[in-house]
Parts: sequence; structure tokens; C-alpha cells
Amino acid sequence: MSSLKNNVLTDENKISKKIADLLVNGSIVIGFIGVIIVFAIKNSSFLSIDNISDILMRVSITAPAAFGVMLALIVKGIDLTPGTTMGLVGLTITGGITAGLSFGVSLVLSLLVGALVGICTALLISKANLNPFIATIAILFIGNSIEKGVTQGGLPIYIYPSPKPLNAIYRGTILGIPNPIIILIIITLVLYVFLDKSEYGRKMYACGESIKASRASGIPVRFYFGMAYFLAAICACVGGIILCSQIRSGQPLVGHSYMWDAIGAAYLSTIMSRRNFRPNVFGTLFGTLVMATVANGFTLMGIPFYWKEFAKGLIILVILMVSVMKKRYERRKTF
Amino acid sequence: MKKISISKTSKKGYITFSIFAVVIVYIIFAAPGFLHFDNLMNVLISAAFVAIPAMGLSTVMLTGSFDLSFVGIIGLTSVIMIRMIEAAIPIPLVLLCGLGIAISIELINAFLIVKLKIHPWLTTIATMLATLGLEKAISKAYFLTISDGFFGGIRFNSFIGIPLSVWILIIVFVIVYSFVHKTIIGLHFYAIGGNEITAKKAGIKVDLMRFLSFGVMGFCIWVVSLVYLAQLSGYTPEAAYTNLNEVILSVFFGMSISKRNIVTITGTLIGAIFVALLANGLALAGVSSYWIKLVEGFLVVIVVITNSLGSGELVQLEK
Amino acid sequence: MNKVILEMKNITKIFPGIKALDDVNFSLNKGEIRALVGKNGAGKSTLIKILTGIYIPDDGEIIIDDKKIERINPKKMYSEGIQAIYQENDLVGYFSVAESVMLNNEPAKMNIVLNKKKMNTDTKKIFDENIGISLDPSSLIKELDVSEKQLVQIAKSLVKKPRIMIFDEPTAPLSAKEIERLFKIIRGLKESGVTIIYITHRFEEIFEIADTVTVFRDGKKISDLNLCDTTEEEIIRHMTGGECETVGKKSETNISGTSVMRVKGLNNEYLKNINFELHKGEVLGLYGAEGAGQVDLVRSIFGLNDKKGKIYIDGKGKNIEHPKDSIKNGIGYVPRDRKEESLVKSFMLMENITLSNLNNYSHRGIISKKEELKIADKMIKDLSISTRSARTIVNFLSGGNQQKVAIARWLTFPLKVLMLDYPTMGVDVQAKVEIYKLLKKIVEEGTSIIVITPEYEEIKILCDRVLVLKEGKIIGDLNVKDTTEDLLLKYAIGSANNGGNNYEKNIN
Repeated sequence: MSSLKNNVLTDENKISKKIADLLVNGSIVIGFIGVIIVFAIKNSSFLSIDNISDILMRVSITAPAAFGVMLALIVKGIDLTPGTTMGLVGLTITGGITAGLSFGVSLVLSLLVGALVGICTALLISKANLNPFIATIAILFIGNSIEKGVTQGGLPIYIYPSPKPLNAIYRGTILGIPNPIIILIIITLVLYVFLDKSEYGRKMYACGESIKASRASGIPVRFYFGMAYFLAAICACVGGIILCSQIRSGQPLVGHSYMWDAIGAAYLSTIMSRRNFRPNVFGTLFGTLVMATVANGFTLMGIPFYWKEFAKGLIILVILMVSVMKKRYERRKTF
Repeated sequence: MKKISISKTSKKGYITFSIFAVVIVYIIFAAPGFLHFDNLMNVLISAAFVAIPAMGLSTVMLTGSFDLSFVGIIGLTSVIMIRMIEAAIPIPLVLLCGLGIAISIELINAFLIVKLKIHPWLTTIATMLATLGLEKAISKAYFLTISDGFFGGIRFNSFIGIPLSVWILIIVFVIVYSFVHKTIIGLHFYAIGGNEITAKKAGIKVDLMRFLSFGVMGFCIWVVSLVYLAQLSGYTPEAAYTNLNEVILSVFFGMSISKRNIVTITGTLIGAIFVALLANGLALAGVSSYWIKLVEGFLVVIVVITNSLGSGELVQLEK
Repeated sequence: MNKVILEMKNITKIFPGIKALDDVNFSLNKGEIRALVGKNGAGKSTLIKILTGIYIPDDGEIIIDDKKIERINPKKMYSEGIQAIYQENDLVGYFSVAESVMLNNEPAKMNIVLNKKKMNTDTKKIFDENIGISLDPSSLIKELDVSEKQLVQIAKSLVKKPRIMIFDEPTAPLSAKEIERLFKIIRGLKESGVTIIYITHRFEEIFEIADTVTVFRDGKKISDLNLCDTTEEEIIRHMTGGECETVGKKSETNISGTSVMRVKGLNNEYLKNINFELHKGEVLGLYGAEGAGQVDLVRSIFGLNDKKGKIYIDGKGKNIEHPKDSIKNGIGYVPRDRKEESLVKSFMLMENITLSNLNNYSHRGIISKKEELKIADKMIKDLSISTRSARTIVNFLSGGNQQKVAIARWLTFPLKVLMLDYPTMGVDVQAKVEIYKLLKKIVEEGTSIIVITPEYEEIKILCDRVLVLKEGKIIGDLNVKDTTEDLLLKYAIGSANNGGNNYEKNIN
């Protein structure tokens, strides 16, 4: 068998093998660095602090939504609602302010709206045993309808002047670091600790991997399934608040354009995980970072927006191909 | 999707049926013009936008796969065809090229999903973004009008009193229906979607069948892009994208009303017509336009949800 | 009768690090029923996989009906008329019986248009003529029970006009009556000239159905025996090579009178008024025909099935509705289904060991990996689990080691009662012995055990007392010292000496 020969051969050229390993394992990151270098050469301001923080601020909007989708992927489902939640949250804040409520009250209301979306999906999936795809597309459909309904068919709600605290969420800084980046770091770390370090995250992964085995280990499976979707909505809610602060208005259906980035990034994390297709926080963050970087680089180079979309699609495809080749390479190595 | 107890199915059928009946009776009484022939034809034309790609999507879903990229491919095919017409290329050649483009992009999807075994969602989100971008790159995101008589003909002519666009819907339905429900290949699609290993063991060429199902999707995309071009008198950027949710919902609607709780072509068509009918009927009944979507959404969702209770993985937990 | 239909010559199959088949010569006569026996990993399944074209042998040749098979692949072997009936579900749930039976063999006009009517009549014909049971061709697979699904699979392979049919442990999920029915069908197949390979672990079946038996051990074929002139002892000797390590009979243990668990008036869909008591340090066996209620009883106690009735732990009434309640009360359960239920197979070994007791290894919700690793290493050492490290994904472990992990997770905290469902299913003899030793150790440490097993030997080795169930009721409470296999069977299936009639009673 050829596999036996391979095993003998591997001992002989260890160094070249190590280099190959490194290249293959880091290929996606190496490629990403390559893209950054190209952008940096084409435009000198690409690597400026301001621009980098710009990219990260954009990530801070998409990443929370992507984390939400990632949570759904962990319990082997899918969440199509992040865009809707983001849109509804924005409309609630701006609508509340327009109706004369204080910013604080509107913010709380928007969190409640996000929580309500989360509770609905959670109940549909964990109590009514609905297929997550059907459940979340149903919520998406109703959510979109509400967004259009309350805005008389899609008229944005502008608030002018926008309240200072709302402004501060996106534009303020703490110790010179923009607030959204701080929020991003906090939410990333919290989720990382929750998923990778805490018993609750462990149990959530277990529920996703095997419903029966988790139940037989005394884990309340329905609770964890529900929690995943609830937290997903809360995550999207955070993204929605940052977005609302950025655009200072409530735009119906605005979340839609973030939805695909979010879903794409979450799926990318599964193919980039070291453990068998496991959705993970940093992979998801990396996914959103790639998308934001490409979008930013293209904008700097003055390329029309539609090429950005095209490039995003292409880049996901390239990453997919690379990961497939990586998997093949690894398979050959193990045999 | 597969696990559902039989006794519940019939009860669910009644719920769907009664929602159907109540809605239609309400519309008939509240909107006098609803039953008018021309109006019904309008319903069918708007159903065609959703139903034709939904039938393609059903075929892909039968084999256990999925496709989101069709919204981009419809736009791309339309815009390329319109550009070719502008360049005075003869219509038959334009149509042929359109078909070729639609099918070949779907086959790229199929290659990535079937051969490289990449998750269908991830793959088709990528191709969706790429084609949506490319579509607008070619059109510069402008509306493009069409001056050619061929497409005008589709829009304004009729045969035995029925508009040509409706005939297109009927013909596509008959083709896809017979293909999926009356041929061996269709049965093999179902076998693959139900249990891939069984299908493989029985000697079915699983990969080839999957490619074929994406081919059907490509065909449907091509046809619907013709309907878009004709009915909108040209190309509107991302026109198909706005119908994405309706398309997916129609498939699930069809699945939820089918006896075996599986995707069927007839069910999908009924789903698409139901959605179109609601929008049209409610508008005629004087419901203000921006609440139509909401009412429509609730009704469709109620039907889908009541019919797919117990479709999730968590059914395993029932004691 | 004596015409050779299949010859496999000098078959060798090597996997990295192991010779799965070593120069095996295997031949079949037309129309015989051949049983294959051997321990797990002895080479039976590799041989079958080569025969069905899933594996390609590294050396050797296959000759069917004097014709050498050149390129071996599943399709080729399929078209040569080799059909396998596997245990796992090999059907499409939402297909009708006719669609399943005729899959990829559909009657069609012009080779493409389905002829549904003919499909139904053809299917009906196969069931009526070849199987002798009528099944509505239009009923859906998901509405059928296990045995009916098996019949559909048999019908499905009959469509392809098989020459050799392979049955891989077909009786495992069947009731006694269904087994009788299956044997009738197999004999019928034999009559019509089909050659049959029958794989099983149950000796009584070999003697009932097979003509000849081939014994495998460590990748080698040991012997072909004619069942007319061999004995069970001889077959076992060939299987084990005479070097079987045994644990010996259960030694007398001191069972104190204190009751650990008392079950009172337990009722549900499958169980009728179950009452029993479990003492400290006792090993209680549950015995009965497949589906007589043993599994339901254990699952109900653990909180996996709905139930009415009371459970007392240490004399106090407890309300157990979910496994987490039973874990809190010191009850553990090792399900039979290792792939699906007793382990999260994509998790690491250490993660599996701590899963049911995670809060012991975490402080304010944060897991201490160090403590996890410590307990996992201890378990690996104590239970001699052979694994590369505590971080190995359990899916990569062998069946016996997986079972040890499944048991180990209940040994990391004080447990009052451990319930096991056929813990030695599908593990080889060596691992079996180790599991017996392990269970004995657990009892010595003061935990009581309830074990379900269909093997009398195991009851003799492990248990102090055995409850026999029938139709959801406890019909015998026996001291193992005073039982014999005959006695147990007599309880479990009516009267052991009295054949068919009582089988039926048992089922209905």
C-alpha cells in the first residue's frame, strides 16, 4: 500500500515537511497578509492608524451579528435573523427618540426588542421543535414586514440632532481607543471565555454535537438550544446599536447587507477551526476582518462598490478552495 | 424535516386548508375585482417571479443541497442578455448564451458542493455575492430598458386569452413537474435527499444526479430572467434579490402541505401562488400597502410553522 | 449442491499497522448457508467488505462461478449478484415500500418515465411469492417497524436476483417470533438456490440455521466446520485459540441489608407496576427477551422516559424527571448506544469524562483544564484505557476503550447506583474481561450496579440477583446462585422446552 511507503518517507525529509506544514496551515493567514500588502502598496494611507481603526470599527458592527450566527451553528442550526434584529433595533432607538423618549429609555426598549426576537426564535426551536431554518426565516420574514410596516413602506427615520450619548457609542473614545473597538474587544473576550473556558459553553457545544448524549449526561438540552438563539439575538442587538449610532438614523432593512457577511464569517470559522468543523470565536472574528479589510481597501482604491461585493464572494471562494486543499493535505499526512 | 408523526399531519392539513379558505373568502368579499380574470392573471404573473426559481430550488433541495446564489445569477443573466441585445446580437443567440451562462454558473456551484464537498450555504453565499457584484458591475447599478420586440411580445401578447408569461409559468411547471415526479431521475433525486448512502449502494450515480439538479436550477433561472426582462421592460438592479425570502418560503410552504412532508414541485407552486394571491388580494381589499407585507408575512409564517412543528432535531428529546 | 460458487484465494488486506486479513482462502458451495464467527476484529467484516467491493484486497483473487473478478468495486460486486443486508437503516424514510424495493430498478417506459402501477404490482408479487408476507406497497418506510424494514431490505435485494446474500447480525433487533419468520425466509432463499453468508454472535442461531461455519481469528481463517459434526465448545476453542482468560464466577459478596434504591409502582407505556429494591454493594441483573421492558425500566429510572411511580434513594422519596436529577441523586447510566448516546464522540476523552459532572471541575463557571486533565489521566491509568493522550477524540478509540470511557465518566464522583445497558456489546473478548473486572472493582467500592445483558454467562459472572422481565412486568426475582440458563429462559419466554406457541404468547 502506498500509505505505508508514505509513512517511511516522512521521516527522511522532516524539515521540508515542516515548512510545507507551516505553509499549508497558515495559508489563509498568509494570503490575507498578502492582500494587506497589496492594499498598502496601492494606497499609502491603508496602513495608517486611522484607517486600521476604521476597519475595526466596521468589524465591530458585523462581528456581533456573526457571533450570533456562530452560536446558532454551534447547536447545529442556522440563524437568519441577525439582519432583521439589527434593523429593528435601529428603528426602535430612532423611533423612540423621535417619539420624545429619552435616549436611555429607547436603548432599553431596543434591547427588549432584540430580546423578544431571541425569545421567539428560541421558543420556536426549543419548545415547538421547529427546524431552525424554517423558524428563523419565518422571524426574518415577519421582522422585515414590521420594518417596512412601521416605516410606511421603507422611509428611513432620521434624527437630527442625534442625542450625544447615541453619537458617543460610535464616535466616542476611551483612552484614545474608539468605543466600538472597545465594545468589540469586550464582546469577543466574553464570548471566548463563555464558549471555550466555561462549563456552559462546553455544554452548548456538547448539545450541538449530540443531543442524545448530552441529555444522558444530564444537560438540559432544550435550555441550551434556546439559549444559543437568545444570545444570538442579543449579539445582533449590540451590532444594531453600534450601527444605529454610526448612521444616526433608522433605516428599514439596513441589516440585510450585514446578514450575508455575518453568515459567511461564521461558516468560515468552521472550516478554519483546528477541531473538526467547530464554529469558534476567533475564526468568526477573522472572517469579518477579512471582509471589512477588502471592503475598505477597495474603497480606498476608489473602486465602485459593486466590485467590492464581487471580490468578497471571490475571496470566500478562494478561502474555501484553500481549506479543501488543506484538508486533503492533512488527510494524506495521517495515512 | 423527515421525522414527523403521521397522526399530526392530517390535523395540520386542516389548519392550512382553513387558513386558505378564510383568506380567500375574505378577499373575495372585501375585494370585488379579485375574481376578475385579468386580476387572476396578474396574480399568476407575479407568482411566476417566485414560482419558477422556487421550482428550481426545490429540485436542488430534493438532493439534500441548497442554493442562495440564484438571486445573483438571475440578475447576471438578465444584464448580460440585455447588453448583448444592445450590441445587436440576434435574439436566438442571446437566448442561447443566457441559458449557457445560467447553467454554467450553477454547475460551478455544483462542482464546489458536490466534488469539493463544501457546505452548500457557504458556497452559494459566496457565489451569490460574486454574481450580485458582477451583475451591478456590468450594469453600473443602473436601470436598463429594453427596446427589443421579443420581450415586449412576451409582456403584451397572449395565447387563448392567457398572457404569455403565464404560459411560461405553466410550461416550466409541466416540465419540472414531469421531470421530478414522473421520471426515474426524479425518484433518484428523492432517494439521494432521503438517504445518500442507500442511493449510492443502489448504484445511483449520486454526483451526476446532483449536478443534474443544479442544471435544472440553471434552466429555471434562465427562464425567470426572461420573465423579469419582459415584465419589467428591462433590467432592474437586484430585482430578484428582493424576492429571495418569498422563494425560500414557497418551498417550505410546499413542503409543509405535502403529505409526506417533503419538497414537492406542486407544493412549491401552490406556495408561490398563495404568496402572490395574498399580496394582490390584500391590496385590492384596501389594506394599506405597507401593512400588506406584514399580514402576508404572518399568514404565510403561520401556515409554515403549524405545518413544520416537530421538524427540528430536538424531536429526539420527545420521551 | 456441491458446485463451488465463490472462491476467494489468498486474500490479504493490510491497514496501517495491522493485517486485517492474512492469506485467507474462503470458498462457498452453491445453496449452502454459511455462518461466519470470530471475535471482533478477527476479520469477518473485512472479508465481507472485500466481498461487497468496499475494500480492495492487497493480494489475492476472487472467483465467482469460475469467473475471475478483475476490478473490484461495489458496483461490480453488486452486479455479480452479491447482496448484503446490513443492520443499520439502509432505506429512505419517506419512500413507499414499492419505491424502496424497486430503487434503481424501476419499471419504466422508454427507460425514463416511471411506471408506478407496475412498481406496486411487482413489489406485491415479490412479497407474496418470495417472502410470504404481504405488506402494502404504498405504505411509507417510516411507518414500518424494524422487522418490516428488514423485510423490505430483503425484498430489495431479491429484485436484483442475488446469487450470494450476506446477513450481518440480522436478528439483533428482532423478537423471537420475528426471528422465526426471518429464518423461514432464509430457508426459502436457500431452496431457491441462493447461497447465504450469515454473521452472528449467537451460537444457538448458528446451529439452527446454518449448514457450515467458518471460524476467524486474528485475521486468519482457522477452520471450516460442518455443523452436523461439531459442538459449540469446539467452535469456541477455535475462536479463542484455547487461551481465553476468564474472570470466573461471581464470588460471594457481602451484601448489607441496607437498601440503596427502591422502586415502587413504576408504570408507563411499556412497564406495568414495577417494584423492586436494590441493596448496597449488590449487582442486579435484568434479563428478558428483547423489548420485554428492561431498557425502558432503566431509562425510566434515569429520567429519560416518562413514568409514574416512586423512587426512593436511601429511603427518601425522590422526584426524577430529567437525567440531571438522577445524577444529583447519585445515579449513573451507561446507554447501549455508544455512537449516539453514551459518548459525545467528537469530544476529547477528557471532555467526555467530565461532561456529566462539569461543575466539580469549574470555579464560578470557568472550567479548570488542569483538574480535568488530572482526573482524565487518573481514569486512563486506573481503567487502563489505551489512548495516546487524554486529548484524543473518543471517536478514534476502539469499541472497548470507548466503553471504558463511558463507564469512567461515572467514576469521578461518588455514585450510589450505576446502571449499564449491555456494556459488553460489540467489544472483543479481551475488553470484555477488563470490563468485568472494572465492574467488580466498582462494586467493591460500595456502588450498587444494575446491568442489562442478554448473555447468561455475563449474569453468572457479574450478578448477585437477577430480575426477569416479560411484557413490562417483573416475573422472576432470582438468586443467581440458584439459577440455570434454562430456568431464566423458562421465565423469560414462557417455557423453554415448549417451542413456538410460547414464543407467540411472548410477543402478543
